[in-house]
Amino acid sequence: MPNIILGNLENNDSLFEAFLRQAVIINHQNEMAAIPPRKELEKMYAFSNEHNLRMKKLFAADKRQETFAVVIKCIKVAVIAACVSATMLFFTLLTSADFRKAVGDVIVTWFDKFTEFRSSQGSEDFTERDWSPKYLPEGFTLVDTIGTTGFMFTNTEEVRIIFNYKEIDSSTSVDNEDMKYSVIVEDEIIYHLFETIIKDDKYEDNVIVWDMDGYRFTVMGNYNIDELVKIALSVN
Amino acid sequence: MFFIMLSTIEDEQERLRIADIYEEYRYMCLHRALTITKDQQMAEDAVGDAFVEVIKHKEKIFSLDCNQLPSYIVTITKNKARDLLRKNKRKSDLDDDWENSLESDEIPIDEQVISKMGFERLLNLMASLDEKYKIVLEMKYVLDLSTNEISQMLNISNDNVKTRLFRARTQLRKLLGSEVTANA
Repeated sequence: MPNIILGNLENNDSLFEAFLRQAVIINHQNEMAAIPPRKELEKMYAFSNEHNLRMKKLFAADKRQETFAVVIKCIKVAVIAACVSATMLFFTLLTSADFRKAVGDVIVTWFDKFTEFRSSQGSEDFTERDWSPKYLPEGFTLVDTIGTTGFMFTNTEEVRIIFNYKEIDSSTSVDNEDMKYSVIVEDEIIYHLFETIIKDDKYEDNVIVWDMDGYRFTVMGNYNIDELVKIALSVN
Repeated sequence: MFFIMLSTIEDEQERLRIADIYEEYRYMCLHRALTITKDQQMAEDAVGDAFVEVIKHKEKIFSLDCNQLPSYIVTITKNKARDLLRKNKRKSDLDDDWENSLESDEIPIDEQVISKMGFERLLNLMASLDEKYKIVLEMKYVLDLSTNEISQMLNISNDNVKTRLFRARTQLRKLLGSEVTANA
């Protein structure tokens, strides 16, 4: 029988590949066909007790793993649902102009050692005004002014409190190293509190920052944070 | 709570399906494994290992039709049987034969000669091909698995799969060529 010589290697590859595929399939089919039917196999062979026990444990372990996987899946679904609900609530609240005003006007950016406050929009309702705190802790008096918008108060122990304000367009940075951060909301105004965690250090100031009516205010001093909050709340 | 119940029912159904598949094909797998291992205990271990793989890839298993399913399970069993045999043997004679005969990975000749009876010769050569290469060829051509899927099933790298396929083809072509030359 003559041989067929195929001079083109690419054609050879395709033909060989086709032959190989068929040969593999047919060889496999022949192998499978050579296996006796199940009833006959059951007469020929018997599984050992060890094997049966192993398979029983395998299916039991699979069931436990499946149950665990189901529990994990449900927890994930619950967490996702909670996050979605919180997000939806947040965006629902954003429909409120007051909430938007409280949350959306200030962009607070946290860096490694300081926090920056910037406004997301210009001060639409801005009217030039003079501001001053109505409350001062006992023993404090005005001792100096800082430019036209800053005041320094001290007491007999030379503890210093500074009150300062400026237009909202500029940014303000606060040192946040070793500081505990918290927030107070009063009359729809958010007061950002930075309280030093290093006690008895007369060089560390507590700081309060807030925005109101187109201005950004700062109260800072090495003094009790609650008293500084009273000062801040008294500014109008 | 309903979601948990539904998931549990679905997983319980899957578990029962796997158990049914095991009952249906375990003797077939044992028979095939015995042809490789020649040892009852090793063959049983191969069957057990094969069904561990079946459970791992149950989504794939459930997607197969009734013709593909036995082929799939038997091929996995053969692979596990071969792995166990290799672990128990110090040196595989079969491996030596094939590895040593691979002188070069290049396609060696300028023109390929395929006889009119070449297909039958190829088929005969397939029967004597090393299981290592036969398994990857079966996974590729019979089960239509991708290189990725084959590598996951066999726990080898993609490159290893490609190498085995390439060497299987090269060796068969060389043997086919040398058979024809010898008969000429």
